[in-house]
Amino acid sequence: MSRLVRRAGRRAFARHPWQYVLAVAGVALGVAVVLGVDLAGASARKAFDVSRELVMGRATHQVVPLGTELDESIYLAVRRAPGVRAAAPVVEAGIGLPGDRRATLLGIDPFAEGPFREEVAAASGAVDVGALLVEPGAVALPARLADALQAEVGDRFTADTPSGPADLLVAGIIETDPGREAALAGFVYADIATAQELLGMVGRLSRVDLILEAGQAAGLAGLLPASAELVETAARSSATYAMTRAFRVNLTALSLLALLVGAFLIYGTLTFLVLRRTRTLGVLRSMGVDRRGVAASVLSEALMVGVPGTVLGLALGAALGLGLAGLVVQTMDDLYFRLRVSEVSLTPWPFAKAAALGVVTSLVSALGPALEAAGMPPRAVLSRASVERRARRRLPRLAAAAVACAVLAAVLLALGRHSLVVSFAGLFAVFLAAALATPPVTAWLMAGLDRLMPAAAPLPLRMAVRGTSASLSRTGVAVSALSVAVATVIGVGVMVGSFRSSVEQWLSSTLVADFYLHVEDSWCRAREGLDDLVDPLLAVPGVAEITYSQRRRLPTAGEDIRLWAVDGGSRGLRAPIIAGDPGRIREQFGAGEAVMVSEPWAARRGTRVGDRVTLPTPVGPRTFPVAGIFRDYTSDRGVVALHRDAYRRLWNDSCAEGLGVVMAPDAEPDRVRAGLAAAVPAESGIPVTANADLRSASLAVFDRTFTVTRVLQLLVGIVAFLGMLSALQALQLERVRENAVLRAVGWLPRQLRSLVLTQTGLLGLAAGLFAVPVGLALAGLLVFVINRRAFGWTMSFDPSVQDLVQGVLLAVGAALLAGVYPAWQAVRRQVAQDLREE
Amino acid sequence: MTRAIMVLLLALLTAACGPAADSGSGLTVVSLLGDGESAGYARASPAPDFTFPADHGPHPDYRSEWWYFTGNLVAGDGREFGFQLTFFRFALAADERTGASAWGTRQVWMGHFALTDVAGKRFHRAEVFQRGALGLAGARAAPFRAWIGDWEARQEGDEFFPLALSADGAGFGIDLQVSPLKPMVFQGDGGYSAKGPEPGNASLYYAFTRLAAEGVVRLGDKTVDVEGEAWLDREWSTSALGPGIEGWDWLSLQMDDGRDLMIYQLRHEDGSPSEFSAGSLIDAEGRVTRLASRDFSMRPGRRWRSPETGAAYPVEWTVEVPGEGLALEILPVMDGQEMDLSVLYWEGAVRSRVPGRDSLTGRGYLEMTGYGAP
Repeated sequence: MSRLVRRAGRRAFARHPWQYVLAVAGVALGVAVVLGVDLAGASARKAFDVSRELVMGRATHQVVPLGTELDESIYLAVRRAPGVRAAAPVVEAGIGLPGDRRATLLGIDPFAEGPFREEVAAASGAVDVGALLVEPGAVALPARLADALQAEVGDRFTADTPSGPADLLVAGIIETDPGREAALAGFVYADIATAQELLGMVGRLSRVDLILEAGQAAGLAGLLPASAELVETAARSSATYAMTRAFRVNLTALSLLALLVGAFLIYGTLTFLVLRRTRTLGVLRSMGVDRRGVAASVLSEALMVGVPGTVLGLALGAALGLGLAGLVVQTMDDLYFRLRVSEVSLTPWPFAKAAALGVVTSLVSALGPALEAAGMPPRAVLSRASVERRARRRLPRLAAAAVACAVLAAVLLALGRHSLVVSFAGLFAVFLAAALATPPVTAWLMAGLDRLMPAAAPLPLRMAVRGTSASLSRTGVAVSALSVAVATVIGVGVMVGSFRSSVEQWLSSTLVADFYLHVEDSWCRAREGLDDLVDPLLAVPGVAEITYSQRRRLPTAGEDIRLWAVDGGSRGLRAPIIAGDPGRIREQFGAGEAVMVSEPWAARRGTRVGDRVTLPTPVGPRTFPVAGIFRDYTSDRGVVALHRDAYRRLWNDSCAEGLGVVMAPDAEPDRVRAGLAAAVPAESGIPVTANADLRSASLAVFDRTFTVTRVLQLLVGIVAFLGMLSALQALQLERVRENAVLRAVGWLPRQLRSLVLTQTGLLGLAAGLFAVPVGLALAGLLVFVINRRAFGWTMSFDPSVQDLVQGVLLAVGAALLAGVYPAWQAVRRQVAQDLREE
Repeated sequence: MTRAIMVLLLALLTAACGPAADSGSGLTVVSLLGDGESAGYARASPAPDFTFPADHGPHPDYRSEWWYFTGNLVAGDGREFGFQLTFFRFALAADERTGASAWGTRQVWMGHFALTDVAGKRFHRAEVFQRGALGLAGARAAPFRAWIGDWEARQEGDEFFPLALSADGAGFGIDLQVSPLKPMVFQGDGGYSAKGPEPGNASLYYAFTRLAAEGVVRLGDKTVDVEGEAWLDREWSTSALGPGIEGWDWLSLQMDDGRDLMIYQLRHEDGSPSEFSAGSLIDAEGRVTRLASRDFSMRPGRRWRSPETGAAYPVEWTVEVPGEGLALEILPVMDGQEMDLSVLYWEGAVRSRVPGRDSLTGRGYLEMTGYGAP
């Protein structure tokens, strides 16, 4: 008997292959999105770890300069200090390679490096370290970089170094395991003596890496001069990684939204399968198949959909992960720190998770319908009407559940003021409430529409309106999924749009100079200041003044402090002020007596105007009052701004990485630009960028940051569309007889088509309309709650009508598109045969 | 740059540097001293003119050089130890490096330190590398000091002797003071030790074959007072080995009758001894008898295969010097005394006895190279 039941299940799929394909595709997409995002996240983590290892090696601590330089004698002092198990000096700076490539020249002492750097220890290949030590300009290239440069051992090439062009000799090619290859390719290795000479750092080090015995840090820190600081790499790196947490949480949340939609889809698909087969099940029941048999049959069908769907989804997800990994790594690279790898890491765990998710969701989705089918008396099962009746009876219950979810959401959002995770849980509750509310709201909407409809309304329209609420048992879930998806599209779209316009505003008020020059730190260091650059610039006719900006990270035991040493010239700091008295800010900040902190800083640390901030400086800690809080989107970790004059005094650093050139009011931009380009020392390679170009470059980075968001948005839409298509097809299959009757009583194919399309259009409209408030709520949550909590910055809430209309059109469009095929199919069928089938 | 140096330096990079080194990359000593490009370096020439204390110090224009201390020590409770402490210097180029950085150098230093704990059946060894710059490693003649990090041999007073030897590995160390019991010995022809047919395939070689040693051995937290006898070999060269030499077996023996024996046998690739094998016998008063290859024989006995590297070393030997009436069996104090470091060789404490008898007649050190695949 059970074989018969199983066969009945299989035959059902065989008779409606498209239904089956859609169901499998739905599961596959749901699984793929979750897996793809997971893999991308794991790759980002891997990228982070590898990059961190390359930068920090196995060092437990580092001695870093508090000012700009570390005298090399500090290495000799530190390596003999008690508790120091190993010490290695490092000299590093960026250099330019042929083909506009950039890399980090890492100068190390190979004899001290062993305990620290696995990529060196694990390296093999032809490295003539003898030449590396004694030949001037000798470097070792990672194999991948050597390939890119088409360089072989013994070749020479010219590189741009801070002290000018230099002739480099390839003294070795470093081969390493594939996992490190990509990361390694960003480095050029040289002996520390060579690196010091090439980078103009003779006598100086960038840092000293240390492996300390436990508990020895305090003693060692006491031995260091005031110009150096001992920092713990673990704390540094975890602080660095924590920076990306907000971004990763957002990403995960998006993947969970995809999962939610995917789960709806899987649930919907399987519900239709069961409903469509109620008659068969009824027949089976009346033939004596017991309840267990029926339930098992439904569950095994779920597996027939879930397992192939999951397998397909895993393959798709791996491919998707490849694409997303690049985007995610790029984003982290843009936003947080230099990642030197962008390869997807295929670890088994995300696959296992996604696989379990696909299969379990399929089974859980089918469990309800299975139990329901098993529980129905055979007679009731045979009656279609009872199904709809029961579905409608469920509507008030759904509404009640929606209200409960809404309450839960409110509680979570209120409680989760400080926890991103709780905030997200609240967000999901909002979505769940919306999803649950969609079928009852749609039913009420249709009932209202029906009542409002004039009696003269065309018959297909009236039938469509009534039929829509009558068919909610089939379409309710699909409509929910569609509306959640569209709400996601709207919400994320509005948030990104609001964010973008805020950033745009901020850029236009902050970027006030007419031209910008970016100066490599090492270039400036090699010249001990900017005089070589600034004097000629000021001599260019039409140049009124020059503004300066220097950003640097002040290492502390915990998270680095991002210091922004800024001199806005006569106009002062132009960032929008959120808190603080502008007059006092101008006075105190301008005199270097007070600092300003950025909005994320204030949000994260609870800093207010009048509080004090202590900065580690080469001459010891210095405490400043906070004069004001300014809007800033450069770092979600927060920035402390200090006038450059004070910075120069304390850090004895006359370099600045950003120069702004303000033109005299009557100056001719093109002429000034040409003058600037000519004034810049030729060998420096310092580019002159116009204000507008810098602004658009900044926005391009912004847009790239949200590319991954948009891709996921699109995927969620596709999943919802598939759900809709599948639901409508199921519905039309159900309607075969009904449609045949309509044709038999004289309906034209055109009328039948418009009936079907009107109905799907109405469903789409309902989903779209419902998605608007939900989407706005989502956007509001993202803007006011999530972003603020995750990043600490505020933005204007700026929903464009366009976004909302687009959302509704998307819903209607998706529904109509999904209805095209069923409508065409409904008309094509043989009326007589369909009637006879009954 | 020479292949040998490339191999060495690759080994430097791949070796886990630092005192806890225990991985071997299988580099052979022969490749360090063998077929290298030697143009531009100073070469050993016959009838060398030594001047002291200058020649106790470094000879940076020769490609390689070492200060090689070995010795057998005994604690008050009779517990026996062997030790080896060597400071190797290698020049990477014939000419000084140009460039302003104080880190720049053409001299690389490698230190090997081993302690054989006979009763504890443990063989400890460690390796360090340093560049000869910034005072990280180096040597000077007067007052004498050779050092690599905190391993050092340091002149204590106004004269070269007494020397203080000090080294620490991971969990083992020595602090010894050594003073000569016999005068300096020039090996080979007045200190010119030919290793091959070509002129210049030779090293400059002198030794102190019997030094009184006393001090402490550190093992873990324990410090053990010890005394015993040590040996210092000083050798520098540019191209010490001729072609076709696969390795060598070198033995130093301090016999109970007051005589000291040093012999080495250079092996061809087919295992046969080279005619440039040589040695010397120093009597109790310090008079030297040179031994040519025909004057002695070294025959390998039982082999021991290293579980770490798979190399099979003949750890027991039969040595005969017929002209001096010497016939000896050489036995290791323990088999596992392999230096499986960046450079692979076996160097360990040995004892001698008359064949067929149980009583020991001397203590020494045996070095065997060229047995492991590079």
